[in-house]
Amino acid sequence: MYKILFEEGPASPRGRTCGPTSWGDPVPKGDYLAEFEIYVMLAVLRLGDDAYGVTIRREIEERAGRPVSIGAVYATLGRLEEKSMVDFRTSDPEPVQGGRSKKLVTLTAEGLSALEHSTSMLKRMMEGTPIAQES
Amino acid sequence: MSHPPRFSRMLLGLIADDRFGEDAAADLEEEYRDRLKSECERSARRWYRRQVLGSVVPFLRFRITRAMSERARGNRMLPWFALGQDLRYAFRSLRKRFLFTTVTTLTLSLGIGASTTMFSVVDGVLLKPLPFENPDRLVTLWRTMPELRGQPGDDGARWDRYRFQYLQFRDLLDQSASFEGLAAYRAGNPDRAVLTGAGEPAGLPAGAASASLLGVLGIRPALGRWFLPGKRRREPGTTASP
Repeated sequence: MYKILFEEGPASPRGRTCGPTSWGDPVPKGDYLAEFEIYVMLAVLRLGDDAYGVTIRREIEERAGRPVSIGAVYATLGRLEEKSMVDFRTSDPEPVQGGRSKKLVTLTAEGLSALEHSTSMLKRMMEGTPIAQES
Repeated sequence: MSHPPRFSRMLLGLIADDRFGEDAAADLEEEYRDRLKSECERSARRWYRRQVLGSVVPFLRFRITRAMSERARGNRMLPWFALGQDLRYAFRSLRKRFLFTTVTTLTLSLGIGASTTMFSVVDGVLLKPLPFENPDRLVTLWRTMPELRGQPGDDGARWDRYRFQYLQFRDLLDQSASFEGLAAYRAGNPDRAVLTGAGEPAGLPAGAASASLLGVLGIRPALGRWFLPGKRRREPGTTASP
């Protein structure tokens, strides 16, 4: 599991240890992430400066073990951009003949916060279940 | 150098969002070229096509969602996207009620089928005009046998629909002044004729009619001529008409 899922933050007023986002912080409903959005954002986080369409698609396909289309990746990135969770920037052209510029993706602070919230929610839901014990 | 499948590239250009279309195409082409290094061209092209097909729904859904968001913000309205959403909702609702959907579909199918069949018959028999000149001026004459009326069996049932004998037709032809033309034909149970000559003999349906039939119906010969007046007996000659 990823480090962010198990990161322990300051105790909340209720005494629980949870992720960086505490229990009490309300999260706008629009910031709840769908499953594939979580995959895309985690892939972007892992890839760092090399996150663009090709690498994100490959990352998800290899790790999740399921075929992923480039359209699904860009449609998801488009939705995340509308929610201000990702940013795009254009890289310099590759230093080869006919080299292309790539649309690189980075997570915004809001995106990172939403990702942490979603993953910590998942962790809390899994606590005490056979799935959590097996993993 | 091999290029990705052209039709798939065109399809991607059509479905992809303006914002990401070029990037998606460039990414796919980059992966396509990478695959060519390790796979055969056929496999790489198949992968490219699958990628484009797999991108249709996500891209279209994204475009529809974005259009609806713009519409909600008061921007330019795109009513057909709302129609698409309504249709999808209707489809999901029907899928949840399988029995209702099945019964409704069967009922509609039977009703439409029955209506179509009835209309086809009515159209062919009643509404469509006869393929002759002045069809409203064509009449069929029957002979009546009032003495058979009321008798049991077929004879009594069709007392007013007896055919003319040929000599009776001849008398009508000679004496009648009410009709522009008179013709006789034998309908039902057509005779068979054998066409011989070049090639294998062929059996053809044949009928018998008076010499005046085609003239009364207003059919003009495409080749040859009709029977001349007074020539009612068999004579050599060939006539063809459409």
